[in-house]
Order: sequence, then structure tokens, then C-alpha cells
Amino acid sequence: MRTRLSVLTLLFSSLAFGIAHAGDAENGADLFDEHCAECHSVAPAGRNKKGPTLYHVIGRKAGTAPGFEYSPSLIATGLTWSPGSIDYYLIDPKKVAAQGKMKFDGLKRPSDRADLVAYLASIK
Amino acid sequence: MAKNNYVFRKSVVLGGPLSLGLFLFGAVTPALAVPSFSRQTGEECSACHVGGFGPQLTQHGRAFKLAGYGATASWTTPGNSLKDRISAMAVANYVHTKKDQTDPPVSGFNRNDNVALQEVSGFLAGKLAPGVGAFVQATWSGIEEAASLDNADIRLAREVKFGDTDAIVGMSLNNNPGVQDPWNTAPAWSFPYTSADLGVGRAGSPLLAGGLEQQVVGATGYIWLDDHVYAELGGYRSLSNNALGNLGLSQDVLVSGTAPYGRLAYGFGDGARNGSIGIFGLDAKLKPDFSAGGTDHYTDIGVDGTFQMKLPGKAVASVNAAYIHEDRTMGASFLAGDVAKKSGSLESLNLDGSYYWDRHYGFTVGLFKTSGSTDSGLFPAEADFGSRTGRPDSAGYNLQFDWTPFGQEESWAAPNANLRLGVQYTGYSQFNGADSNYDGFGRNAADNDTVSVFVWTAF
Repeated sequence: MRTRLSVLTLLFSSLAFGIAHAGDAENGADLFDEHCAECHSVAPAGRNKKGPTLYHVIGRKAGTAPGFEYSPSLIATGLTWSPGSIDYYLIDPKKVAAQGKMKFDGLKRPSDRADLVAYLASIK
Repeated sequence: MAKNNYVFRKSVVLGGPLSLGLFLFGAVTPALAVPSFSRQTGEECSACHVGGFGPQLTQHGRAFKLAGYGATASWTTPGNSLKDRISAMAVANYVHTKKDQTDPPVSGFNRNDNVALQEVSGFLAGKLAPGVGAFVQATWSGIEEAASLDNADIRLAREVKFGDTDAIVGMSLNNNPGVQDPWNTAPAWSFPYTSADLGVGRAGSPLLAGGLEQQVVGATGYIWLDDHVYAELGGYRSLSNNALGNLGLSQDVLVSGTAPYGRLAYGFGDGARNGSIGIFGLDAKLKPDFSAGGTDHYTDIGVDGTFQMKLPGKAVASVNAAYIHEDRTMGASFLAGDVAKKSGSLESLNLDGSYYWDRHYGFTVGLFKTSGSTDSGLFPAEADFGSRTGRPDSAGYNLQFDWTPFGQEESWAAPNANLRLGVQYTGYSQFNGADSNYDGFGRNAADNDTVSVFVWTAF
């Protein structure tokens, strides 16, 4: 039930994200470096680190990066990573996947999340 | 590093004349992140190390170490073969002191302007089995032309939960009090991270600053609770003479019984901004005469703090500070006439601040100050290395600029090679108790100002 509610919330969040935000990818790169780079790669040949590669993460189904061992909690969300779902996840990752592996308290400022998503989307 | 200084003191206190060669060999300590960690985790050196080269740890690097070098369940290990766990390192340097030393520091070297392949090390480092990890270093000294066991830390670690609270509980088997510590305030890992063995070493530093390194074996248990509270307790005992001999070492220090060691720290913040405050201590009774029963008693208590902050431009600013107070009661040495006073104290303060930018370039400023009570037996006059005043007081600063061209995910030869090139300057305002004629032979503190250019590589 909790997961369903989260997914519904995500749907609305995704719509809202699409309408409201156009992030600054350059600032997003700095935010990625500050908060994410130690555990996640975005390089084309990016390997999984402590976290899975985020190269071309937009459009990927959650829990499917080859070679990475995900928590059942994240797989159970059934999410596909879109700008909106990433934005929602980053507010409080433990709220979306309570037993997830990622130790990150989240980005509370909407503009920071938008910038980070813009950066992830910009990686070709 | 500061370890030089203690060995000088040991050579006096123990009444056993140690060769200068041993004094220098005891100073061989640099150790760092090794590419085997990177091969194991798939992460670049800069994930765990400020500036992309060890040993200054990021918060992520501290978590890796506390997890038994990535041996717990939440760490992935793309590199799993034994060869992934093997690494090597070499340090070469050119050393210039403002004034020539009275004698060559070691036979075969000059009184000044020495070039040396200071050390070559091999490592077994990384996860060995689920919950078991190791960092074991063997070093060949290009100055002593001898090999021995260097730093060793073998860990058991496990992730557990207390209610909703995450924790890591573990145990470390190691050979140097503090080598297992995750912060760069512990003397074993503090700035300067490499220094010239052929420079002039100061007299007097706390026992915790390398006085027992490689001479002991210790077991400590620790807990890292909720990513905030770190508590550790354990003890150290001397290795037997035979065991030391088998490891390429000779016995310099003999601990009577078990020397307890403890550490308590509080960490805060996240990977972008984090810090810590803590206390640590060691209580040891040493037998200065290896064959007799009398002991000298050392009690070291330290407080430390750190702060680290990521900044735009792939930059990281860090500050580390540690203060150690040591009380000594040297009953056995006093009876033997090796020291002038039965008791005394020593204090040391080390501060450093670094700024690394673009993940490749770094500038570090370090300040150090040592002071202590007078003892002409413990700190006697001697050319270059001694003290006219019988005091260990020294003060000065270190400046270092370094360049780490690799160490990133897409660097050349990543994750199999790393390199740091640097220049380091050490200036003294006081040396062994005075600023002028400190040794009683006309040498001034500033005469020991040292420039070192180093090449430090790991593969």
C-alpha cells in the first residue's frame, strides 16, 4: 500500500516537475561532484561503484544497472527513472525505498534537485 | 615525520645506543591509498582521498576503512581476484637543508643535497573475505637498504542494526597505535604525509606519535554508530624478539604487559561538509633495560578535531588539529642514570589546513609545536640532533604544494597507477629548546630549514 501511494505521489510529482523546472546543468555538475560522485559514475564506461552507474540513467528501470546488487526495497518500487521520479526520490531516498542501500539524506531545495536532474539528463 | 623525533629519544632513554641508521629506518612511514582499493571498488582514488592521492581521507574513505576496507555487505567488489589486492609504492626525493649537517646522515650520503629512493613498498590491501579486510605494508628502505614489515591493520567488520540505528562493529589487529584510526589527526596519518628521512629530526615527541610502531601487536574493538559516534578500546603488547627478527625488525621498545589504548570521537555532517571532534589515549609501561624488571610509565592523552568541505571547482578544503599531552614517570631510567629527572611531561600540537582544487592541485600549510620539561639526560647536547638546554621544545611550519595528475576515474592507467609530485618546505623558529645554538655546537634552528622535492607513485 505504501509503495502504491509513493508511486501515485511520484506520478503527480513527475507532472509537476515537467511543468515547473528547467534546471541548470552546470550547477548540477557541481552538486553531483559534492554529493554523488564518490559513489556514482556518469562516465560512458562508468563502472558501478558503491552505487550503480548513472550513465544514461534517465529512462532506466530502477534496480537494473547490470552487475549491481540492489536492495529488494528499491527494486520493489517498480520505478522508472524520469526527471520527475528522480526529483521525488532525491527529496528523501529513504522515504521511497526504506531499506535501500543509499545513505543520503536527500536534497531539500527544489532548485538543487532540478539542477542535478538537468545534469544527469545532459550526459550523452 | 614526527616519528623521527621519538626514536631519537628512545636511543637515549633505553640506554641502548641505536645506530643513526635505525633512527632513520624507524622514520620510514609513508603509506597511502593503494590502487588495489580502487580495483576492488571500481572507485577512483579521489572518492576516498582528498586530492586523489592518499592518505588524507574523505568521509567516504573513512567509511571504507571502518567497513574493514570495504569488506562489509554494502560495499560492492567488482575486482575480486588476489592480484587485485596487491599494490606497490615508491617514494624518491631530493633534500636540501639550509646548512650542511655536521656528518652525513647515513653512510653513503652527503652532508646535504641528497637524492634518495627513500622507500619501495608492497601491499596486500583490501577485502580478503566477507567481513575481513587488510592493509599490510612491507617496505624496503633505499636508505638502509633493508626490508621489513611496515604498517599492518587486519580487520573484521560487520554491519549491524540496533533498532533503526545502523552501526558497524569491528575488530582491528594492528602494529601501531592509531594506524587503524579513520581520521587524519592520528599521528600515524597526519600531515606531512611524506617527509625526508635524510633531514634533521627533532628531539621529543609523544609515545603515541610512532614510539611503538611495528614493535607491538594490538587488538582493538570498535563501533561506528549511526555514522556519528566512534568508540574503540584495546591493548598492545610487544612482539617477541624472534617475531620482530622474522619481520626484518629489531627490538627497540619493550612494553611491560599490555598497554591499553582508547578512542572516542563524534563525527557530523555529510560527504559535502563534515567534521569530527575526539579524544584518544595510550597508557604504556616500557622496560628500558630489556632484561631487567624496572619500567618507565607513559600516559598520553590527545584531543583532536577535523573539518572538511567541498567547494565549487571540484575543490576540497580541510583542517585537522591534534593536541597530545604526555606524562612520564621514568623510574627505571632514573635509577639507571639515563635521565636526569624521574618525571616530566611533553606536549605537542599539530595543525594543518589544505586546499585542493580541480582534484589535482593541492596546497597545505602545517604548524607544529612541541614543548616539554627539561631533562639533560633525556635530551643531551649533541651536534645537530641534540639539545644544549635539555629541552625538546621545537616549533615551525610546513608548506607543501603538490600535483596529482591521475587519480580520477578516466585518468591514464586508472585504476592501476597514481602519481603525486610535490615540493615541501619546513621552517623552524625553534629547535630542540632554542632558536640559536640549540645543540651546543653552534647550530641554529633555521639552519634546519628544509626543502624537499618528492616523487610519490603507486601502482
